[in-house]
This record gives sequence, structure tokens and C-alpha cells, in this order.
Amino acid sequence: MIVPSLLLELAPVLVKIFGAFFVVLTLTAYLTLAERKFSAFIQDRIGPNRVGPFGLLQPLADGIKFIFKEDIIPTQAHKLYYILAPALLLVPALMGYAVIPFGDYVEVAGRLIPLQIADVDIGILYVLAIAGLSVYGLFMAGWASNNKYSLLGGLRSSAQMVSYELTLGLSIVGALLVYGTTNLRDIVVQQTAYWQVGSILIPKWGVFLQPLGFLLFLVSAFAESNRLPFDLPEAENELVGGYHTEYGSMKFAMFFMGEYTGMITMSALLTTFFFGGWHVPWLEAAGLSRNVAAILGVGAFCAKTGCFLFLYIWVRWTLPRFRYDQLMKLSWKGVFPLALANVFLTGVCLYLYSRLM
Amino acid sequence: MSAEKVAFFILSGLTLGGGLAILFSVRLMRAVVYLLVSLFGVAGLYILLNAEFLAALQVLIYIGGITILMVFGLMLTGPGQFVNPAESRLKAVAAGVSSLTTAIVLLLIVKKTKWPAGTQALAGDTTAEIGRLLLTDHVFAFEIASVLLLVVLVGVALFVRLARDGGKP
Repeated sequence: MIVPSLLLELAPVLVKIFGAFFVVLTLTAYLTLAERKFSAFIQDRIGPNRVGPFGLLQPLADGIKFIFKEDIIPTQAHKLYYILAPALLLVPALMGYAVIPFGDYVEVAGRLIPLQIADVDIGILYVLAIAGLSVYGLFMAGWASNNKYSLLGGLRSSAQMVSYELTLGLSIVGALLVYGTTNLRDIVVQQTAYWQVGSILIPKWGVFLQPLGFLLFLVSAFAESNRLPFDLPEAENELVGGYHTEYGSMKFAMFFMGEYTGMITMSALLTTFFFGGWHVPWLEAAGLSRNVAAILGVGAFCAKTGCFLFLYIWVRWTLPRFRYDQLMKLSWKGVFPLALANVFLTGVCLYLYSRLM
Repeated sequence: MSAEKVAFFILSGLTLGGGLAILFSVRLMRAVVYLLVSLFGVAGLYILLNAEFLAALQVLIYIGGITILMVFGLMLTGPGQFVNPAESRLKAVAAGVSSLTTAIVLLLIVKKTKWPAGTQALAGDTTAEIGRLLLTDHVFAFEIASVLLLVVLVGVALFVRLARDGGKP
């Protein structure tokens, strides 16, 4: 009876992995549509509305178009790296989901199943390490294309990513000090507690404990996912397209998917660190059963992540691009010292709190 | 052979094979890619030893940080400007002597040191324990490393300033 018990162990994990893959990739496809629709709204246009009702089948049409386009590899390109680069960008972006808890436990056939693919103790570090890997896709694309615009894009991206990876890590150190754990599930569980102010219960979300840390993390997250106002690696009106100038058909689509998947990861992380993850405030009082509450929690997690995705799109169509020196100045002279100050202040506050309470 | 052993051989193969490939590659950009393979192998070995924290740091610092800086330097300077060691016999001899000395010193260190090895995995979260050890038992080494990094930082700033002001400090 080894095989059935092994299957019983593996089945929930496989279901969760396939589920997460399906949801994320579908969301990625529809995010491109959302981006076009919202940008149209912001610029007072209509946006794509030809394919299907309200243009809802547009991502499908785009995908089919990409697959049937001719796959061109420039003769002077380094073939292996050229082909490897889009995968190296997309895979790390997808790997990030492995540790993000998207819901509480559900009870299926008498077993408690956590709504998270892998519950690892070093969740934060894993996420940061994986986020840092995507830069190899960009630099490899820039290098292998054998094109000066691509190379400049790759160069910019490696400088930008290294700078902002540092601030990304440093800006959550404050939150880490407060929570005292690197386990993402523990972090969310700690945020489900409340402060009592008079008769009002305020949820202990990270954003109230670490407002500065949240802002710095938000800025760094925008820079890490190469989105406006930090999209210098591709900067289409100075670098033609940056690192993906020489890419076409499905390979180009993979770069696109990598960017949007990265956005979803960062939004999910912002939700997990600073907005209580799956936590629905004041729901405990309703006394719902475990499964119903967990499903509502998953909904809340998706809704919060969606809000950040909207913010991403909103900012892109509102703010102009930074100049390169401004970008570096912001990182090293703005965000970095502030993040250090945040760590210091948090440490002092925690010490005083532990002394006084 | 247990699954653990298979994983160990694959990972150490990646580590050592990557290292050898670096030695024998003439093009620097390829050497960097082989370095990545080797570093990933080491990270995998850490995971095999239940040291997830070290594995994450390995990926975060060495793969995500230091190697990227190497790539950055390579992109700025271009592969053509480096000296091929095979061109100069003196350089080849000097390189041979220095790497042989390093190898002997490393071997002696590995042989002579009494490693506090345990066969049991630490229970639970290793992160807190590593943090405690770094700030208590090994605080001296920790501080020395920070001072060294600070010296490097100041030195680089000085060099850049020298180059910018045309050799005058």
C-alpha cells in the first residue's frame, strides 16, 4: 500500500502546483488585456474591443498570433544564450509562487491542507534569491543578441537590478525585525491579530507597523519588475526595445510574460508582507466554517493582489520615465539610506517596546 | 544507491564540472556562465545538508549579486581587452606558482583543522541559530569581515577619484 499513500501525499501538492500555474498564466494573459483596457481608459480611448465580447478573447488571439509568427534567430547572435534567455526570465518569475501562501488551511477528507505550495522557513530569502535570478535573462538576451541597443539594455538592467535588489531586501528587514520570522505563513498569521482602540479592532497589518518600509518596498518592487517609471532596460524611445530588440514571435511573448508574471509575484509579496495576505478583517466574528473562511481568504488575497496590479498599470500610464542617473541617485542616495534609517528606527522602537511593556 | 546519494553525486558533479569548465574556457563570458553552474551546485549541496538558509544566501549573494557584478564589469570592458595567459610565459609561471601555493595552504587548512562535524541536522529553523552564533561566538570574524569590506569600499572610491582627477589625489 505504498503507492496509494504516496499518491495521497502527492495529490494535493500536484493539484496546488497545477492550479497556481493555471491561475498565474491565465492572469498573465489577461493582465495584458487589462493593461490595454486601462491605458485606453486613462487616455480616453476605447481599447481592444474586436475579439469576443468587450475584447475578452484578445489574449487568446495574441497568443495564437505569436505562436504562428516566424521564429527568427539573427545570424550573428550567440544561439544557445539567445534561446536560453527568455526562459531564464520567465522561470524565476514563476518559481516565486512556490512559497507564497494564498490561503489558510482547508479541510479535505479529514486532512488539513495548507493553501501554499511549499511552506519553507526561509520564505523571504527564497523569494529575494529567486527575484535576483531574473536579471540573468535580461543580461543574456542583451549579450547574445549582438546588437548595441540590446547590450545597452542588458547593461542598464544589470546595474538597475543589483541596486534595487539591495533596497528590496533592506526595506523588508524592518518588517522582519517586527515579525521575527522569515516564514511567509507565520508572517501572515501574525498579521491576523488586532489592536483594540476603544471598541474598534484594527488589524495588525504590516503597512501600519512599517509604513516607510512598505513605501520603500513598493518603489523597489516597481524597479525590480522593470516597469515605468523604471523601465530603462527597454526604454523603447531611446533603445528601440532594449534587451528584446532582436526577439520575435513566442520568444518575445515570453519576455512579456516574464514581465507580467514578475508584477504578479511582486503584488502578491506586497500583499503578504504588508496587507495581511489572505486575512479578511473582522471575519472571525462571523463564525464561518473553516473551508468557507479559507475560500473567502483566497478571494481576499486575489483582490488585494489585483489592487496592486491595478496600481502598477495606473502608475505606468501616469508617470514619465526616470533618467538613468536619476534612477541610480534615487536608489543609492534616496531609498538605500531611508531603508537603513527604517531598520535603525524599528530596532530602537522594538527595544523600547520590549522594555516598557 | 539512495536518492540522497544520487543527488549528492549530481550536485557535486555540477560543482566540480563547472569549476573545471571555468579553468578550460578561453572566453570570459562562458566562464561566468560555468561559474553560475558551479555556484548552483554548491547551493544544492547546502540544501542536501539541510542548510536552507546558507543555500538561499548562496543564491542571493553569489549568484544574484557578485556574479552579476562580474558580468557588469565584463559588459563594460568587453572580452577583447584581456590578456591571454598563454601569451606570456612569465605570467603562466607566476600563475602556476601562486595557485599551487594557494592549493597547498587550503589543503593544509582542511587537513589540520578539527571540524566540529555533526551528523544530525539541526532541528527546525537554522536562521535564528546562525544569527545568534554570528553575534556571540563568531562576532570577531564577523566584524573583521565587515572591516575588510569597508576597506575595499573606501579603496575603490579612492581609485575612482584618482582616475577622475588625472592621477592627483
